[in-house]
This record gives sequence, structure tokens and C-alpha cells, in this order.
Amino acid sequence: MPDNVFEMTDLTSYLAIGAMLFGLGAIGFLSRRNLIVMFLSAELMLQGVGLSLVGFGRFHGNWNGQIMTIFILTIAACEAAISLALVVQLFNRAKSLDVSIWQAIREPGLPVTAEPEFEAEPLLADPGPESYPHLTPAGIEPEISLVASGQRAD
Amino acid sequence: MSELDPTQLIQSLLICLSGGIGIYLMMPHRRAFTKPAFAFALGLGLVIFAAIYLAMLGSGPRPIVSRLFFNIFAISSVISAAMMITARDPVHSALWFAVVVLGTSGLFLLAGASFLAAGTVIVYAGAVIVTFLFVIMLAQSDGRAVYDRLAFAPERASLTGFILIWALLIVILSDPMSAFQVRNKADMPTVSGRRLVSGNELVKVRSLNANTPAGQVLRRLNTPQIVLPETLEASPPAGVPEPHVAGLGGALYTSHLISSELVSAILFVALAGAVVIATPRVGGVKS
Repeated sequence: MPDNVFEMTDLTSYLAIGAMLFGLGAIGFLSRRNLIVMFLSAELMLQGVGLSLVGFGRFHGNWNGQIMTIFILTIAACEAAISLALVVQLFNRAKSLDVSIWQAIREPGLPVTAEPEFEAEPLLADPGPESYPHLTPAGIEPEISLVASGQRAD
Repeated sequence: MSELDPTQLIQSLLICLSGGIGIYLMMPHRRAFTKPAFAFALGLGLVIFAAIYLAMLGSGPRPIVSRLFFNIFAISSVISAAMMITARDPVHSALWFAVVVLGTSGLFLLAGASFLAAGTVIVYAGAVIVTFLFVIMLAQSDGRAVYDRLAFAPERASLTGFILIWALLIVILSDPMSAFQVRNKADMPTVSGRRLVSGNELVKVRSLNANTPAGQVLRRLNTPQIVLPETLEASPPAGVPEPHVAGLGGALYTSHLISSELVSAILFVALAGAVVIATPRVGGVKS
């Protein structure tokens, strides 16, 4: 443990960064639809809490914050193992990682979330070697015999 | 409670407004007013502004080098978190999460938790991210699926999340001395009083005298005196600082012994559960 001073302002910065990571993880968990991204957001929330705990432990000068963070790390590893096993099973059943497929197991009496597919972001073509310019066909398609295509000069 | 400082209120509101609008613009969603790439760039700019402002908030009197490294780690982890929750491709999402883990490990290191920093990098970036990538590769869909290009109600999610962040920031940034009314500034322990009290020292103090800080803590907690076995008393002589990992392990296996046993039991149960869930059943598979 380095001997430099850990003041209240340092604790404030650690808590602020931890709160920001926690909130960003909450937003990701609430709004993303991919199962794997949702579990990654939950791990992000755990990271934020761990950062706050380490800051508190350093400020009070004992090991308890770090020990709690070690426990969080362990629980996060357990959670990742269980959740990935579940994700593999769910993908094998539905062939999709969409979480809204599994709406049938929701609480009774809740409305079905609508499927606003028209709100999805348009699929942009990657400008890579695979993409070619799209030309509009013009005129009549010429007859190409097998001999003519085989005897091209270039 | 204390009265709120209006400048800190406005600062935190500015951070949350720019961050919330930025996250909303970065989320995958079709917007009528502009193209997705432009909205993403605009939102990323707002989030970068919020991250820099947030990292600059609690700038106290510190050495410039540690201040610099703190800013680098904090800003990179916040921006990578924003990129992680808005990435269209889950592979990119997992890789941005690895960057977040590296940033928080740097922050752990700056707070003096070097063992924890190494452990986080090994466990998260080494094991968890690789496992996530395996599963993503296993469940690879062709192209980019509709559910990756569409977020559930991004405006409501960002509003909720940043109201939560704003509340947390107000509590964090408000004057802590008036928030904890039990203490005043004279009662706050000095830096030497806040030095580490390792588990071994705690044991020794508990059996010997109550004049050290750990003994005062114990007396305030009013714990009954416990007769301790002789083996726990072996510790370096007073005044010699313990090595980092020795102190952490000592505290982990003396005062948190039952918790660590429970955690290892949970780890074992999770291992067995993951094997049971993920193994395909031969024969009686329904649907």
C-alpha cells in the first residue's frame, strides 16, 4: 500500500467513476436486446460497485473493501459461468440471442412488448473488398456464347 | 441534512445531461432527423465531454503524475463503458468491456490494491472475456441481426439511468462532513490513524491492548473478548510494515474466513450447475 495521502477528494472521484459505470451498466441492461450484451452490462455494474468499495477501503485504511471486491469477482465468475451455460441452451432452442423471444415466461397480466422492427437501424454495407458498386442494368442483355467467352483477348 | 452547493448541482446536471443525450444518440435506433453514423459521432462527443468533466470534478491537491494517470484510467473506462453498451456487434462489446476492465484495474492500482488489479485482469480479461467470446462465436448470426440494431426504448432507458447517476453524484459531491453528522472534522482520523490495520494485528490487539486504533475500533464495537489460539499470534514485530499480499491474505483468512468458505462453496455449486445446464442431454430432449 503506497503511503501517499488518500483524501476526501480522491474518494469523491472514485465514487463518481463507480457511480457512472454502475449507471451505464444499468442503461445497457435495460435497453439492449442481445442476451450476451445484457450480461456484459451486469458485469459492468459489478465493476462500478467494486471500484467504489476499493475507494472506501483505501479511504478508511483497511482491507475490507478489497476483500469485498474479491468476493464480487468470485460471484461475477460464477454468474458468468451460469449465464453463459443458459445462453448456450437458449440459443440452441431458439437459434437467436434476442431476449424478446422469451416473453412468454413473463409475469401473468403484463402486456407483450411490441416489435417495432421498422425502428431498427438500417443495415449499412461495409465498404470492404467484398462490396462492389451496384450498377443499374441498361439495354438488352447480350447473348454470350460459350466460344465467345472463352476467346476473350484479355 | 446539508444544503446543496448550487455549483455542484449544476456541474452534475451538466454531466448527466450531456451523458444522457450522448448515450441516447449512440444507442442503435433509427432516428428521423439524421443518419446513424452522424448521431453516433455526436453522441460520442457528448459522452467524451461528460467523461472528462466527471474525471476533473474531484481534483484535489495531488502529485501531477498520479493525477494524470487517474484521468487517463477514469476517462478511458467511462468512454469504453459507453462504447460497450452501444456497440452493434457483441464481439466489439466484449472487447470494449476488456478495455473497461483494464481501466478499472489501473484505478485499483492507483488506490493501492495491486493484488486486486492483477486478479481482475487475470480473471476478467483473461477468463471471462475469452469465455464470452467463445459463446459469441458459437452463436454467430449471419450479418448483423435486427435485435442488435434495435434498442428497447433508448430514450426512457437513458433518462432512467442518468436520473440514477445524477442522484448518486449529488450525494457523492455534497459536502461529506455535513452529510455524516456524527463526525466533525476534528474527529476524522488523520492519515497515520488511517493506515492499514491487518488481520494479524487485529488479532494481536484484541488479545493484548486496546490503545491502538484497531483496539479502539474493537472497543467501540463492543465485541466480547475472544480467547485466541497461539498460532494466530505469529506476526511481524510492530513497526515493520507487512507485505501487501500477506496483509490481504491475513485479513481474508482471519476476519472473513466464513465468507471466503461460503464463496468457494458458491463457486463449486456454480461449476456443477454450469456443467448440468450446458451439457446436452442424450435421449429425452423436449423440443
